[in-house]
Amino acid sequence: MLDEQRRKAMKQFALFGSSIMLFPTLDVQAKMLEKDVPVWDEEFDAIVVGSGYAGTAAMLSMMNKGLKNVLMIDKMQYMGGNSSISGGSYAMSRTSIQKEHGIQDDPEQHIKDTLKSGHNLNNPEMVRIMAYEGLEAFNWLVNNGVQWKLFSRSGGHSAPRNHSVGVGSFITMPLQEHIMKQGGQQRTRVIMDELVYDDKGRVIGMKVREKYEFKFDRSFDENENKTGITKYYRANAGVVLATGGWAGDPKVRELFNPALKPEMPTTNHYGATGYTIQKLIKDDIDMVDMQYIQIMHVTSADENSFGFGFRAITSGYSYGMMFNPKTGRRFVNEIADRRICSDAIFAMNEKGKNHPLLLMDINGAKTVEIDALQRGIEAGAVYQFETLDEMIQKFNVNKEPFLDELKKYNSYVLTGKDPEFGRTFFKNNDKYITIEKPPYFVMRPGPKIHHCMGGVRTTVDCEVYSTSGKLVEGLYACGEVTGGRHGYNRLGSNSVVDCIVFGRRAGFAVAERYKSLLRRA
Amino acid sequence: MKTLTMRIIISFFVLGLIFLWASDVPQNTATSNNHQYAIDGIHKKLSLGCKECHRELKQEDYSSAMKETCLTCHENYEKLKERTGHLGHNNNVHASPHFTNIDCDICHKSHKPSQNLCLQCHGQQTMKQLIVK
Repeated sequence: MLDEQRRKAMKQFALFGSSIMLFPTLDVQAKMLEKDVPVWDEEFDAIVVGSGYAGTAAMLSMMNKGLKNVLMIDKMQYMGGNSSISGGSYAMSRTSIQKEHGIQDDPEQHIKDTLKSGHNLNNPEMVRIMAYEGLEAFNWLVNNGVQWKLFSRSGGHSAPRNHSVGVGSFITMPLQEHIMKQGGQQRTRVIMDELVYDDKGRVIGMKVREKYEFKFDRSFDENENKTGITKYYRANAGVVLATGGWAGDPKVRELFNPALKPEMPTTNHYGATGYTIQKLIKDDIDMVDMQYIQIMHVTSADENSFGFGFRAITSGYSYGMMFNPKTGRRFVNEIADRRICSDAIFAMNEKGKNHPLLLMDINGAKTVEIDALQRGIEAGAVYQFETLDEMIQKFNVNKEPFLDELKKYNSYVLTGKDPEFGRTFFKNNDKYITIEKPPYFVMRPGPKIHHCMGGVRTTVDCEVYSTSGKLVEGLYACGEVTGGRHGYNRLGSNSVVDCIVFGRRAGFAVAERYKSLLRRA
Repeated sequence: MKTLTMRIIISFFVLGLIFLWASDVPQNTATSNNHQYAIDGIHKKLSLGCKECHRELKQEDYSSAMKETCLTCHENYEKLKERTGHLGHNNNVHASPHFTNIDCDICHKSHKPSQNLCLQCHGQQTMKQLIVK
């Protein structure tokens, strides 16, 4: 009996061994061609892959231009992708809201800030389009039922120009409703496995799986997920890729930036895997800036994901002081961009053993919506103290230097000048906010992996380049899956602008192609 | 180098054992065995069978993508919101501002442990304590 089992085991060993030998050859697959399609199950004028900001903007825009038989797919069990849980902030100058706040600002200043943070690696034409055309896109959102609730200044922006809806779903949902009203189809649990090309290299459709069951497990490799039923969708005028980033995929992000270890936390939803980007690389689609993956510092070290602390932390950077509890001293301009602040925090936080403290008094805390502040407290991301001594004791703060630092900070706020870190201070309701009045509120910022600056290289009309330098006809890309807009580092609230502006451009481009194909036919 | 070789040999041995074990597990089907696809709780009390939820014609097409059949009894999200309204604004999982008509099977699973999707971001103690059936 034992011998028989052993023989059986040996046999399985041999089989297993040979399958490993075979693996490298299995891995190299060519592009999928029209002749590989057994039968087209359905036919559409255009297909949008992904249902976040960029996907919904592309879909609605092409429908506004007259396309009717269009389909939007998402692999997840819900619509909206990562956008549905994002902060939903849109950076724009010259809006009616910015004017109401009496802010002097212009697109050139927005461009300057964006290029500065991007180390001029951004495509300048794309940045210009975002800063100028973004206003029209902003008003288009308003006309489609989007309501802006908050107005603020965020890191790296030289003026208050961030308009937030509260949460990103308040942008994607109204767009989805309009898509539905106009007869556009939206399907969840459909994953794109392959693009299908004709013999001239044009994209003419895709291989998908319906009834896909996404696994909510970050350590699970999505390439191993074999669920769903294979179908073939034809797309006559074009395919728009709006599949988002891969900051939630520990394996793939590490491939492009080895400093991002798998155990590092992310703000992204589970669906932000590298499944599509890997396919596109295999299809010889050209990529730019893949090594630039952003770590964001407005999240709390006391939470594992995006969490609840970020609203208080965001206000803290505008109206509070961040310091190292060990030294009692500040260490960075709190309102600098995400890259500068994250790097500064990593340099002092001793690999998560010595979190920085971000302190506001009650006047600073009043700039946070009360429900957001309370949720932060309930989630353990915001601490409240009646006296500074309580805080000093709780976090073992180096008392004397801290009190000295606080005095200096308050004098900087009142003079409007920070000779140490060059921070600028803005008034809230005509008053500068110092840190003097109890109760005090403290957060512990903990940076998390947030956004992929790099991705698919496109034209300003979202047409996609192949590695040969030629355009892939019939293929368009917009949103986080693309690169070139943000360069080295993306400014907060610039992503939604990118997604909406270029999402619309992708939609328009597909509509144009549809019309020209009709003319030719 | 020697330890690396040893490690490789040991891992192959362990993998072999797993294969051996896997091949000896009887291949159950949904109809023949209720252990692999066991149903708990109220669904069990109601003696629900496979076809009550899975409307696909062929068994091999069964999937958990079946919100429509869930909603034949559980009605709609408006009703679900009401049912869990007592949990309060911050914890009413069926009144999420992020999603409309999200699929039930992300959280509720009949054949494996259920989970709470909201916890991916919302880590307050009261949310952590919710029991997902």
